[in-house]
Amino acid sequence: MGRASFVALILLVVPFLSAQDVPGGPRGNVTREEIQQIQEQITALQKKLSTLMERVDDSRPVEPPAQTETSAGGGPTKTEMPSETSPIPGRGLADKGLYYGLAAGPPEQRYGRGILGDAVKIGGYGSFRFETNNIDVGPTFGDLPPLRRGFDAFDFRRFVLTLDAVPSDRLRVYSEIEFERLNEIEIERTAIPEHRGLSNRAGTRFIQEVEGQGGGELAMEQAWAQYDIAKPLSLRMGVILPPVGRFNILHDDDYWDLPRRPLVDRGGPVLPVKSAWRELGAGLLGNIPIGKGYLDYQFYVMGGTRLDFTLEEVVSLRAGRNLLELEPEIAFASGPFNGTNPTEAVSWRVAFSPKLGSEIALSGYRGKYTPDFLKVDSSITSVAFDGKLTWKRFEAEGEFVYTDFGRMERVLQDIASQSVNAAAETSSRETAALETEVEAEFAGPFTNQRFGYWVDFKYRFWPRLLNRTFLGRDFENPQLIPIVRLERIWFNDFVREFSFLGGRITDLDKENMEQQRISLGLTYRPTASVAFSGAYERNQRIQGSTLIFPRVLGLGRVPDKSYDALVFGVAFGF
Amino acid sequence: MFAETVLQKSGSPIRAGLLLALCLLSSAFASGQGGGAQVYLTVEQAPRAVFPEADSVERKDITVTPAMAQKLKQLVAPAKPTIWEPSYISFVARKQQKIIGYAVICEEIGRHRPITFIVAVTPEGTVRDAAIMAYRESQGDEVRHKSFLAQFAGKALKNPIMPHQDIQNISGATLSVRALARGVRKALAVIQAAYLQPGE
Repeated sequence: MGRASFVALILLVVPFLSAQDVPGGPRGNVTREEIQQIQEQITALQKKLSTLMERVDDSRPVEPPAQTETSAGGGPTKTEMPSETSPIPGRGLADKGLYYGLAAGPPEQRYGRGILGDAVKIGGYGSFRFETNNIDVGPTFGDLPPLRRGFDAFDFRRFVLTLDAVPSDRLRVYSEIEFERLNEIEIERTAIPEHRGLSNRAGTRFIQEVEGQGGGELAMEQAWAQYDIAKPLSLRMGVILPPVGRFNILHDDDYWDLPRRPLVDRGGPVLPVKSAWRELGAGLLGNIPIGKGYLDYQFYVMGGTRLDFTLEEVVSLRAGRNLLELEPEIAFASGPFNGTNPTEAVSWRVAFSPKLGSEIALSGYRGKYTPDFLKVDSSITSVAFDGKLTWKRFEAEGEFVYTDFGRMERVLQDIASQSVNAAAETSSRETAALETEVEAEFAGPFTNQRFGYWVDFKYRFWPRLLNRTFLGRDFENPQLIPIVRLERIWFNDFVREFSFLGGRITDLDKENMEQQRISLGLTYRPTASVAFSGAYERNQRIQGSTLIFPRVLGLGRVPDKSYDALVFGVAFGF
Repeated sequence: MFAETVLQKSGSPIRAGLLLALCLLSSAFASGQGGGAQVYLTVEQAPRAVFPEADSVERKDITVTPAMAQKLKQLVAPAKPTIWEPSYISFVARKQQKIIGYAVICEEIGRHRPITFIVAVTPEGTVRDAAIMAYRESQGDEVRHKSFLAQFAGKALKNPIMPHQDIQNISGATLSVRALARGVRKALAVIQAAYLQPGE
C-alpha cells in the first residue's frame, strides 16, 4: 500500500471515529435507514449533476470551488493561479493546452459550424436580387419575342461555401467554393454500337450530353494554406486573390451595401479579370503596427491572367437550312490551375491605416498574358489606389484602377497570323440542309487601356422609434444606411470588330468608350452580416456606340444612351 | 514604391518577387519576432498587461449561477453576447493594499472562432483597458491593435458600446469588432454583478 493510499484510508476512517466519539452530537445515533436515505439522496444529486454538466458541455468538468488568494502587499507584483489544470472559460479541466480546442458558446450559438471539433469551420455568404429596368426593347421581327437583356427578374447571384481549417496554431487552410447563378449541372456520356436505326449503318455512336441552366458557374474562388512564420509575416500559397484595389480582396457580398458590384471590378471590368479574380500562386503578407495605426502588406508571385479561349457551339434548327456554328471565344481569364501556367506575374498591395476606420492603399499587378501559341509577348500592368475614410457615422470608401494591356494591336496581328482565318462558312451548294460556320469571337474586352473609379458615401444610423417595430425588435444593433455610389469607367481603343483572312487583319474597328453610373440606395442591416438593400441606378453612355455594361447587342437594336434600374437584394454571411 | 523600384531594377517579375520576399523574410527574422502569431497573452501575463502598476493581483474564479446568468443578460442588454460560461476567471488588482481595479477574461465568437481577451474595469465600473489574449480567425486581427482597443477606455454599461455607434468599425474585421464590443459589455456586466453590486 502506497503512502497516498494509506493517508486516504486514514482520512476516510477518522471522520467516522470522531463522529462516534461525540455522544449526543447531531449524528450520534445513525440508523441504517438514515444512511440508506442519504445514499439515495446522494445518488439522485449525482444524477442531477451529471445532467446539468451534459447540458453545459460534455467535456467540461465541474468547476472546483476556486478562490485562491495571494497577496504581497508592498512586494513585487505577483499573480498566482490555483493550479495548472485550472479551467479557462470554454475549455474545462480536461484541456491542458491553453489555446487549443476551445469554443466560446454552445454549438447552437456559434457563428459558423464546427466539424471535427473546432478545427474546421464551415461558413458562407451569398446574395439574391430582383432587378427591373428600362433597357430599350429592340424591334420585333414577325412572331419573334423582343430582344431584351433586362427583365423584371430574380437573379441568384451567388452562394459561396467557405471552409476554414486550423490544423494547428500558426497553420491555416481556407477555401471558398462558389455557385454562381447555378441551378444544376448534369453530364452524361455514353458510347453505343450503331448498326440499326434510321441510318442502318454499322458503327459506334458517341453521345455526350450536358444539362443545366444557362449562365451558371461552379468555381473554386479561393483555396490556400497559410503558415504564420512570425507575427508580421505569413506565407500563403494556393488559389489566392490578386490584391489589386480593395473590392477583390473584400468581395464578400455581405460586406457591401449596394446589391450590385462596381463597374470597375465586375461590370466593365477595369481589372484584368472580373472579381472575384483569383490566380494560383504564393506570397507573403503581414500586418505591422506603426504608431497608432498599422501597415498591411501582401506580395505574391503567381501564374497570372492569360488570354484564353472557350469553344462556343450554336445550333439553329430552322426552316430551309439548319445551322451549326462554332466560335472560339478569346477572352482574358485566370490562368489554368493544372501546372501548365508559367509563373510570370506579381501582385502586391501596401495599405496604411493611420487611424481606426480609415485606410489608404496602393496596389498593383504585372504579368505576361500572351499564351504559348502566340509568338508575341505582352503584359498586363495594373495600378490601383483605394481607401476608406470614416468620420463618426459617415463613411467614404473608393477605388481607382488603371490597367494597361501592352501591345494589344501586335497581339491581335499575331492571333490573325496564327489562326489564319477568322471565319469560314459552307455554301448552299456544298450542303443543302446544313449550314456550318466557324467564327472567332473576341470577348476580352480588348482594349489598350481601361481605367475607372467608384466611390461610396454612406451614413449609418438607427432611429430609436424603430426599436419596438419588427425592424428593430430582437436585434442587437440594427442599422439603416443611405448610400450614394458614383462610378465611371473608360475603355481606350476598345476593339469593336476584328476580322482577318489569310493571316492578315482585314478589319479592325476601334473606339473609345466611357460610361458612368450613379446609384442611390438604402440598406437595412438587422445584424452585421445580413443586408436588405434597394437601389436606384442611372447608367449613362458618355462615349462610344454602346454601353460598356450591360453590353446589349442585337439585330436591329438601337443602342441605349442611358437606362434606369431598380435593384432590390439580400446579402448574407454565416 | 519600393516594390516598383525593385521591379524596374530587376527586370523580371519573378526575380523581383524573390528579392522582395528575401527582404521581408530578412526583416522579419531580424526583428526576432518568431513564434506563434495568434497567442498574445497567457492567463499569467494578462492581468499584468492591464494592471502594470499593481503590487498584487488576486485571482478569483466567479461561478455563474442561473440567477447570475439572468442578471448578466439584463445588464448587457441590448447586446447579445454568449453568456454560457460556468465560470469566469477574474482578478482583483491592488496597489498599496488599495483596490485599483478588476479584470475578467472573456471569450466571444468572431466570425467562426472565439477571441479570448481580458478587460480591466475601474472600481467605478468603467473600462480601464482591454487586451487580446488569443485571436484565431483567418482575417480581422486588426482588433488586437492598441488603437482599436483604446476606444473602449472609459466606457460603462450606460454607453451603447456598439460598432458604428460609439465603437469604430474596421473594414474586413466587422464581425471581430462586433465580438469585442459584445465581450467588453459582458465583462463590465460580470464585474458589476460579482464585485460592484453583488447583492443586487
